[in-house]
Amino acid sequence: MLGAGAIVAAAGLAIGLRKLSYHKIPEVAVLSSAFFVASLVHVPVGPGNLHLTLNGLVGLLLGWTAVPSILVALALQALLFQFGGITTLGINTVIMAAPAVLVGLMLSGMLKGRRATLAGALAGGLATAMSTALLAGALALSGEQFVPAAKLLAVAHLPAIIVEAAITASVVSFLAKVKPELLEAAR
Amino acid sequence: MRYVIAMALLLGLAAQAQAHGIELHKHDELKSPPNAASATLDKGAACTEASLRAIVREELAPLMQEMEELHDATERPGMTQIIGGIGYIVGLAGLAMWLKSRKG
Repeated sequence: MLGAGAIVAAAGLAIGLRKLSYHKIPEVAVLSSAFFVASLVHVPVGPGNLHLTLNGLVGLLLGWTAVPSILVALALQALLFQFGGITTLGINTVIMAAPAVLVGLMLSGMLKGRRATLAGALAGGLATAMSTALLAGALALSGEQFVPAAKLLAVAHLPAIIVEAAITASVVSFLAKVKPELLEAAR
Repeated sequence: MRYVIAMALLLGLAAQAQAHGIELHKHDELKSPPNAASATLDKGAACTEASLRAIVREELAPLMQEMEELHDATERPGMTQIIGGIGYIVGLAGLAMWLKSRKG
């Protein structure tokens, strides 16, 4: 499981790095920082305590280059906060970056005019939903005893999908106003 | 460190109880109410295990609270780590740009 995750992450990283142009590097770094800090923003929802990921936003703006962006942030979180850990870095990168890349490929074409906000909402919600599904799937696959935990996790993350959609939508609509060329570049 | 302090405090209390000729009665809880502990003990007065436990608990409460807070503070990522992480990302971006610019 961990090995497969590492291999998929490495493949994604290779594609991401090949697509990473000189002029894109600062944007990748800024979004990496955003992703890095977002996980520290805890949102108290019901009994649980969820945190933001912003992987929908990262994917929407970066496409394939979201993979190195997310990998760097996850590696630093593992090193500095002991979130996740180094051995699970590969699978965690897949869980976070694969939905990011997917929403980027699907929705970045919509980043124009009024539909940009809708694209942001869809990207935030879909990426979170896919990440949750991947995480629950990875948990369930790593052992029968984790199946109840995986189910609980999936239900607990339903509010996160809504929160993430709202925040990504507001960030994108803000960017459309103050820095439309950023959305243009993502298209 | 704090555990050492707590242990020292406990030992000190026990030694004091002995020095004052306080006898410890086990299974004697019923004879005196357990929460009579906050009252000070007279010299030579008998002390049940329950009341001694209550005294110790009372004395240690602020220390325990402090330990809990300290534990929470170390669990949560601090400002230095957050800013350090962002610094790392900026540094990596600079490194990547430098490498790319050298290639042409």
